[in-house]
Amino acid sequence: MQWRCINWRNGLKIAMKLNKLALTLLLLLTACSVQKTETPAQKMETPPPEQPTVPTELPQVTPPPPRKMTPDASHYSTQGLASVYPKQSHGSSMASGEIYDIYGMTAAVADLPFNARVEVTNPLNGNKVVLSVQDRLTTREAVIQLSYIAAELLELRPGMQVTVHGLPAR
Amino acid sequence: MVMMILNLMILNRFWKSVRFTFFPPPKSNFMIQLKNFIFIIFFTLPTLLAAKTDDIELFAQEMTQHGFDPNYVVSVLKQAKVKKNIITVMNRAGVPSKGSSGKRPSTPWYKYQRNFLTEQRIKQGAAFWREHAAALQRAEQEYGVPAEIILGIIGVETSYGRNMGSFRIIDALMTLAFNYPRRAEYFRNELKEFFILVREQNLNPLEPLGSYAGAMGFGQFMPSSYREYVVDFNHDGHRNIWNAEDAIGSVANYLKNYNKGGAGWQRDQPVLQATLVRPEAVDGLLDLRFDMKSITELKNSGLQLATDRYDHDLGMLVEMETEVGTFYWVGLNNFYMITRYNNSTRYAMAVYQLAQRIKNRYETQ
Repeated sequence: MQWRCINWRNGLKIAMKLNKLALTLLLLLTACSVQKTETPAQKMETPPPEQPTVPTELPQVTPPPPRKMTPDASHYSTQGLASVYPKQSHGSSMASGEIYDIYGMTAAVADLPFNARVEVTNPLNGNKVVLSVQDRLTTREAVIQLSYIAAELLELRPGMQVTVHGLPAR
Repeated sequence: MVMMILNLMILNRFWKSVRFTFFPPPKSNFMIQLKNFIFIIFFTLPTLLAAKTDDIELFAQEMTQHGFDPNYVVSVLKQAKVKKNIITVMNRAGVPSKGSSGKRPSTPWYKYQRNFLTEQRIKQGAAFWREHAAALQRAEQEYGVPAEIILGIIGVETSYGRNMGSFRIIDALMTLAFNYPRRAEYFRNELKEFFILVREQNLNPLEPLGSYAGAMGFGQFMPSSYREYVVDFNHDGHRNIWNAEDAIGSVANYLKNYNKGGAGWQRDQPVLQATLVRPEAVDGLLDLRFDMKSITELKNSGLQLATDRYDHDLGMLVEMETEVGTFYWVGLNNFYMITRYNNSTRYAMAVYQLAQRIKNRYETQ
């Protein structure tokens, strides 16, 4: 009884394995046939990524503006409170005419020409970013106003101090 | 040890007896299943195999147009292996997952970007810049593509050559050309291009390695792109995408000269601009996807771009779900050119943001 029982169980095991195999084969087969009978309408829904829609007209691109000169700011050095742009500013104009971008490497200071570059450091962790001056600071509470991403990279929390160094002309 | 194994065996036996006591299987099960199995094997296997050899024969015949001996093509393909895991991965990648509509990806940008904007990749990018500063500068001069954009692409593609793929290209392309009906036409063409490429480059077709989709080297070029856009940027007589300098020139050349739509990379032009959009216009503008329209036209449809500098350029609306809310950009021509590398706005955004981070890191060092 014991032997027969084991044999029967082994037999069942084999049967189960075979069944699995047969099932996968069946699935494969159905999968193939389903893919073959895909209607053009279904195809339209998921266009293959390598065949993008091509614009019918070639873009007319404005002639490149003269390269921006970055003025010398190497004399500039200050430290104090930093503020951060509110996120609603994304998409609005800055004083230089550039558009504020939460991911832009830009800053507002009170007394440097536009396009000057400054290196801002968080003294607590040593993180540094290089920012382009694109806006005028109107309040006196902070020495610099940072873009969202600049503050993120500096790991700045509200009320934290930063050091600001001007960079030479390029 | 022996005791442990014995113990496990006893447990196993016990569990089985419990299972079969409570869920007795029907007695005739085994024979029916065996019959089913034999039946299925008998009818499906020959047809599956036959279809495949027919396809390969047909392909080999087509290759005679390009001066190949069909016997050579068949003998090469016979040495290639069909990789089932490639089909699995392609099926997972190709089918949009539940909850994603056409215009919005299922993985939001802020999750997606964590794979690419990592401290490690930024560091590697800055190091790669220092190592290949001369080639990057030369590429910028010749093609107008900034160094950081080239670095963004090579970084996202392969982490600066660290992850160029370990599939044999011949296995990947053979698998997808003959076992993946949805994209068979595309991959058969790439397989054809691969045969021509290895003949041109004097390579053994069984040797090149790359991604599961058949992309090669630092810049992950498909065979057709390899033939068309890879340049010999280090002037050693070989166009070699596994060489860092050739890859730098080739990525720049691709962005500058990719000619299926778009004007090519425009020197000193921005990639994108932050913008606002009238809320009710968002869906309509996103529906345009990669169908670039003039900025004036987009403004008439609800785009609120705070400048008239780009009014005569073409653009597309880009939406990104960030950790602090959903924001909008207008992707300009150069953004579109990055999407020609990979047809995804998130991809282009990841490349651009990685580029900005690397540039910042390079400048602060």
